[in-house]
Amino acid sequence: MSQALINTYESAAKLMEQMLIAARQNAWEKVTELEQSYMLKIEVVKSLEQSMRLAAEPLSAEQHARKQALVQKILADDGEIRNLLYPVMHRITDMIFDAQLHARMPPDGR
Amino acid sequence: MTAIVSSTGVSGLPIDSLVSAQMQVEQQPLNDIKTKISSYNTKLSAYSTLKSGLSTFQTAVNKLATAAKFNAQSVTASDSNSISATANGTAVIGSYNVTVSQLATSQKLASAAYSSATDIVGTGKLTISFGTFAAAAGSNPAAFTANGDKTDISIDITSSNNTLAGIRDAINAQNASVSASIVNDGSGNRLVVTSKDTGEVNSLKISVADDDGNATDSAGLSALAYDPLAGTNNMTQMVAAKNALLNVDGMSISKPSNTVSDVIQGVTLTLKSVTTTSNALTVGTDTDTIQASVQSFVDAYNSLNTSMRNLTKFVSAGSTANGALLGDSTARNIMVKLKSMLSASSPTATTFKTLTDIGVTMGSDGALSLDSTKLKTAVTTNVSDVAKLFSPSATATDPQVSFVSSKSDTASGTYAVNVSQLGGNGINAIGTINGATAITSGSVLTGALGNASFGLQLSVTGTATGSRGTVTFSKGLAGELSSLLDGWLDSDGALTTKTDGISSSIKVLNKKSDDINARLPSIEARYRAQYAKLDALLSSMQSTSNNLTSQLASISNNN
Repeated sequence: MSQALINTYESAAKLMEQMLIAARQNAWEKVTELEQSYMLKIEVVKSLEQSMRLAAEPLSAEQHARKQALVQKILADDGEIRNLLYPVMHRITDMIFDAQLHARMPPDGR
Repeated sequence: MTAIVSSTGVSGLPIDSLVSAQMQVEQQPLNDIKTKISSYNTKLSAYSTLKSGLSTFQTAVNKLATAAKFNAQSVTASDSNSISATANGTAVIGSYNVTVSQLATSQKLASAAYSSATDIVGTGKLTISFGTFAAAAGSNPAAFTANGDKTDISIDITSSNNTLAGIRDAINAQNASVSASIVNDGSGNRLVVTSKDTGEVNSLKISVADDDGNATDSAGLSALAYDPLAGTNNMTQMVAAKNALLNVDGMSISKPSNTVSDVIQGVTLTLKSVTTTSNALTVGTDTDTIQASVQSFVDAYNSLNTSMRNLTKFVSAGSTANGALLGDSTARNIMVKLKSMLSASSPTATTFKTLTDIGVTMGSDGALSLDSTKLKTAVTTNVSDVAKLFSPSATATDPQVSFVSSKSDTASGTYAVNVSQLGGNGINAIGTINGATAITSGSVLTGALGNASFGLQLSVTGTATGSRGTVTFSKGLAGELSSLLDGWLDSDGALTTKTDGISSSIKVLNKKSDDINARLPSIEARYRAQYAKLDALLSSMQSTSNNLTSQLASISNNN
């Protein structure tokens, strides 16, 4: 069970890494798609963690260190993705405002 | 590239590119439509420039469509204080000696004096007649001959208008050729009755039916009676009705008016005072006016030519500086037709038959220029040819058939004249012009409606019946051009057809773009959808990392 948990963390981190690559390429469709899979992996992590707590099955020191490294990596990537996402959302807000201005202007040639 | 959104709804919207290339693709047909509409609008405004240029030219041309503009004559009088005169172009060039021994006057009658304008005169009926009083001569008794052009006026005077002022107002209310006023001459108020028109034929006779039973005494309404024949002169004549007496080249003439237009052909005299010496009137050709008429024609055409050249100019292939109507068949057709009209030859002129003959030539740029020396020669040699070039005229093979007038839509052409009955002495002629039964009045025949000769008026005299030869009618350049312009500018003319077509194309395009716009969600809606998707991504990531963070927290708890 403990190895399965580590493996799940590994693949979640892998997904997050791919999400970051996609985000850097401004491929937000892809980010969204990967995020669905990533979310499922985290759900799996949650239930494994719970089962292990109930079974009182601890992680080995090595596994524990690996898990910590993976979680930190995930959170770091996650933060970077969000830093890329905020300005994009900000720009869309600006464009919505511009579009509203445009809509109030008379169209030409009529 | 993802397909158009409308099939999958906003949820299928890609959020990868913000100023989405896909949206630009969808906008492309709209941009194409915009470009088309704008080029149509450019054409429309070019056509309206063309139209206004043509109608400005037409206005100028219509002003020149009367012969008077081209055979203008001037009259000078050696004593312009006593006589002024104008000539209408049909006068014989030369000098006339005119003296005036008496000016025409209007008769003026005054009543006895009343102390106030509100004094009652009387009631009854006033009848005012216009005519000529003739004194007895030999066996002919004195007589009053009514003026056939003027009917008697009858005025009922009742208790509502029986004062001096009331009667004055009642007479003026008739708006007839007699006026009344009240004059206070120091001895009292007198009703003054004046015939509005001069001359013996407009003398006044005032008969009264007096309610007091006596229509001739100076009491009651009959105080206003005036009839020299009957001897009832209860009003006093202040001014007699007199004719103007003049002498033209030794011939004594008496006329009822001081404006005399039927003594010297084509000349209207205005008599202003009695002359002390013989007054020499000189009728001459008004070269300056004719020159100005031709010049204004040239100027009007040139401004049209400039405008048309601008609209059709070629700079270089595809250049935006090219005229909006470059290569346009309607515009080209108009230019070609106008040019050929300008080189036409008058069928009625004899010596100076074309514009070139009178010094108007066209340069390589299509503009006209006027050689005033050449024009002056034409005017002094044959002024009627100059008039014929521009304005309506006709020539007949029969010397007893002459041109009277025409209408703006009388067509140029040669028409046979046939008379089965001659007119005159109260009889109307019977005949045909160009094969169609003419409308007749006396000896004047008018071309029938629906026939090319419509409105052509000819005077047919002499005694011969049957064929009276042919008449060649020419509208003249001004008339021809005006008809040509009518054809283009009419509400059903070529230009309107063209602009209507463009306008309806614009309508169709606008409808198309409305339809496209209706199908496309608005740009704003697209941005909102993009935002919503990213917002969903963000919150999902946030809750997941919150989960992770709590996992991290549990890590320490686990050890």
